Parts: sequence; C-alpha cells; structure tokens
Amino acid sequence: MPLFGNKQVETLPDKELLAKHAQGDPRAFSELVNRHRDRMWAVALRTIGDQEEAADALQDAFLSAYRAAGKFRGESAVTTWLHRIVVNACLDRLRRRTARPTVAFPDDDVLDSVAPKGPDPTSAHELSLDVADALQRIPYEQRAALVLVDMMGYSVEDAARVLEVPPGTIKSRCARGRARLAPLLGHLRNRTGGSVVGPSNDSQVRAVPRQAGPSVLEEGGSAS
Amino acid sequence: MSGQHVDYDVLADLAEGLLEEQPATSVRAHLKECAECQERSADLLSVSQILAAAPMPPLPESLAARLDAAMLAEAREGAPVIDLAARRRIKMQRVFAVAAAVTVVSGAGVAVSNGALDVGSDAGPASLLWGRSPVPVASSDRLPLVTSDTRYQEATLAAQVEEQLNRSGSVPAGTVPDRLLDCVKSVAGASARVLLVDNAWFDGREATVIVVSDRSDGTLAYAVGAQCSAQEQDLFATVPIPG
Repeated sequence: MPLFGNKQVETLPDKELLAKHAQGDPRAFSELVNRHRDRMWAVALRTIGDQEEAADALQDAFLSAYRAAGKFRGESAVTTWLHRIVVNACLDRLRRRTARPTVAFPDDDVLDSVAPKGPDPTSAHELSLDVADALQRIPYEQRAALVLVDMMGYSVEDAARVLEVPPGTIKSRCARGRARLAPLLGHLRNRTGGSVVGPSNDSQVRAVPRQAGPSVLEEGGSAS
Repeated sequence: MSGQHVDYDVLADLAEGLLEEQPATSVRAHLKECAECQERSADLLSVSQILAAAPMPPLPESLAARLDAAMLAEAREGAPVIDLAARRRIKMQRVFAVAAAVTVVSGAGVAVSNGALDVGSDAGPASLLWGRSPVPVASSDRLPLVTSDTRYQEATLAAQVEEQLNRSGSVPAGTVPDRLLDCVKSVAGASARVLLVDNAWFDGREATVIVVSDRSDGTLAYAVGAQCSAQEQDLFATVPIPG
C-alpha cells in the first residue's frame, strides 16, 4: 500500500518499466531485473557452462542494460533485447576463452573417447550434469542456439532476433548441434519421462513441438 | 532396402526442413525400411526432449544479492553531478560549524549560507549536522521531508542514510501527516529532533526512514513501515549514523 502516492512498479509492463528507468525512477530497473533474472541466469549458465563466469557475464549484462536503457527504441520486446545483451556477454567471454591458447576445445576423437559410458544415471541431478557436460562439448554458437530453442522453448524466429542472425542460420546451428549431441546423450534416452517419438512419415518432422499461442518472448506484464 | 544409411547430420537437417526436396524424399523412403536408421533418427529426436527436460538451474542467492548490490552501486554512480558540489559545500559547512566560524569561505569561492548556521541560541555546534539544524517533533508538524524512493537495505542502511543526508542539501519542510508525527514520537520519543523524513523503501517494502538527532545518542536512523503509528511502531531497523 502506497505511503504517499508512490506508484507500484510491479504491475507495469516491461517497456514502461524501461521508460521509467530512463527517466530516473530508481525502482524500475530493479523490478525489471527481479522479473527476468531467473531465466537470464539459466540462459547464461547453460551457454557458458561455468558458474563463476556465468555470474560475471550476467552482472556485466545487467549493468550494460542499465546503461543502455536510454537507447532502447522499442523495436523489439524488452525480453528479446535483454536476452541479446545476456547472450552477447556470454559469447564475448567464450570467444575470449577460445582465443586463449591454453584452453582448447577438444576435437571429435577426444570427445568420443571421453563420451559417457558409465552406469546409467537415475537422478535429475545426474541428468542435468550429463546434459550440461555434453553441451560444453559442442561449438558455442550451436550451443547458444540450442539453449534458446530446445532448452528455453523459444521459436526459431525469436532465437534469430536474439542472436541477430537469419532464422535459417538458427535452424542449421540447431541441426548441427543436435547431430553432435545425439551420440553424447544416447544413454539418457527414455529416461526423461516423455515417450520418444519414432521417425515420422510426415513431411513435417519436428524435433520438438513448438509452443502454441503467443511467443515466449512477447512483452511481459505483471508477474507471470 | 532403398538408398544408403544416413548419418545424424542428414537426419538433423531433415528434421529441420533443411534438405532439398529430392534428397529428403529418398531419405524418408530409406527410413521406412531401415531399422538402424530409424534408431538413429529416434536418438536424434530424443536430444531435443532431453534438453527440454533438463531442470532450470536455480539462481544462487548469493548471486541475487550480488546483482542487487551492483545495481545499487550503479544507481549511486549515475547520481546527478550536482551531488559532488553539494557534498563539498556541506562538508565545509560542517567544518565551519565545529570551528564556530562565520560567513565567507575564501579560495573555493563558496558562500556559506547564514541560514544553515543559524541554529538558535540553545543549540551547540554538535546539533548542526549535514548543514542543517534538526526540527523538534514536539513543536511542529512541518519536518524536513523528501520522497527519494531510495531502496534502503538493512546492511547498508547507515551508509545510504548518510548519502541521502549529503544528497538532500537543504530540505524544504513539508507538512507531515499526524499518523507519521505520532510514529516519530513513538519510535524516537516526544522530544526527538528530526533531521530528515524520507519516503522510500526498505528491503523491498515501502517504508519511511526517519533520521533524528539526539545529544546523548548522536544521530539515529529508523526505518518504519506503513503501519507505524502511536499504537504500533512497525519498526524494521534502527542504526546509528556516524558523523
């Protein structure tokens, strides 16, 4: 309940929050961060794969967004804009990492030799460890596309807007990434609860059913 | 059996609709008859399901706190330029108050307002704080009042109050509702002398921060909630303010 005419920010849509922030409202950006940080953390951690680096990237990204808010022109949803800043902060770090000579990505032969062959995983924790581990074994641009499309459930078009590449590039990166992950994750098949879909005779073979209804990246309003 | 075995890459392209019409048709024809490639195709399709089923990693609490702190620090750094000048002027006023010195500062070219030093006959130098004299809550319903919307937090309350006192410079007196006057008397005593009343936030809740000066206790800041009144304190936190 307001004390003396303070407006509640919790119910404002993202775009109004960002506008209020640009006008100097100190509560607006905090509300925006609170609203989206859980999802942004998932994107950052899955893309980078390392807790500390992901935390640094997320902090960098929110600070960049804080400073760049005045430049947001409303041509996309605020969430798309935020995702782009977070993913770019992650990719910047990954590019710097691969540029360092000491930490090289293992090649395919090495990957095959260390691919998981151990006892069957049973718990969700082991499952997510295995998934995180496998994700780190594919090129980061494929990983970034798969994190958005397969893990976070965004449409190819939304992922294309976030990563600023054509939709066809997203499709191709997803296809390459899935082909690399298939032998790495084969041991987890039938352990995720869902039934595995066999090869289809339909011309439309979809790897994962896209969510019906409004796009996930649409403007957020009150708490969802 | 028609056609050759197909690898994961081709199957992944087929699933994404990236194959040309002709190869797509022959791969589908092969898939109908080849158990090995059906198996491979199923492997591939399960990749997306496995990825989708991975649990969302929870945001660590330490990171949530760190992000809050980083945003707070950024908000402070982005504070208006005027603050630096105001802070310098206020510091000088405090120096002069302690020295019981008078009117004009040379060198810096800043004139110290006589009003800020006019603290009344019964007030010693110690009662002039942050360039202003506290207002006794017993004698007036007009107190130095701001609505800063600062997000005060328990751990940083003292520093944030000090910052606010510096930032506010000379605060116009505003009429304070009776409930809030009763609240001040309830938490700080009927003889409390008020430096600042700030409508703001405390740990995510709407709150009023009341800064009072007391000769024996020094300066204290109280963060109270919307229910604070004569009957109920609704007190979130109390901290001494150094200086």
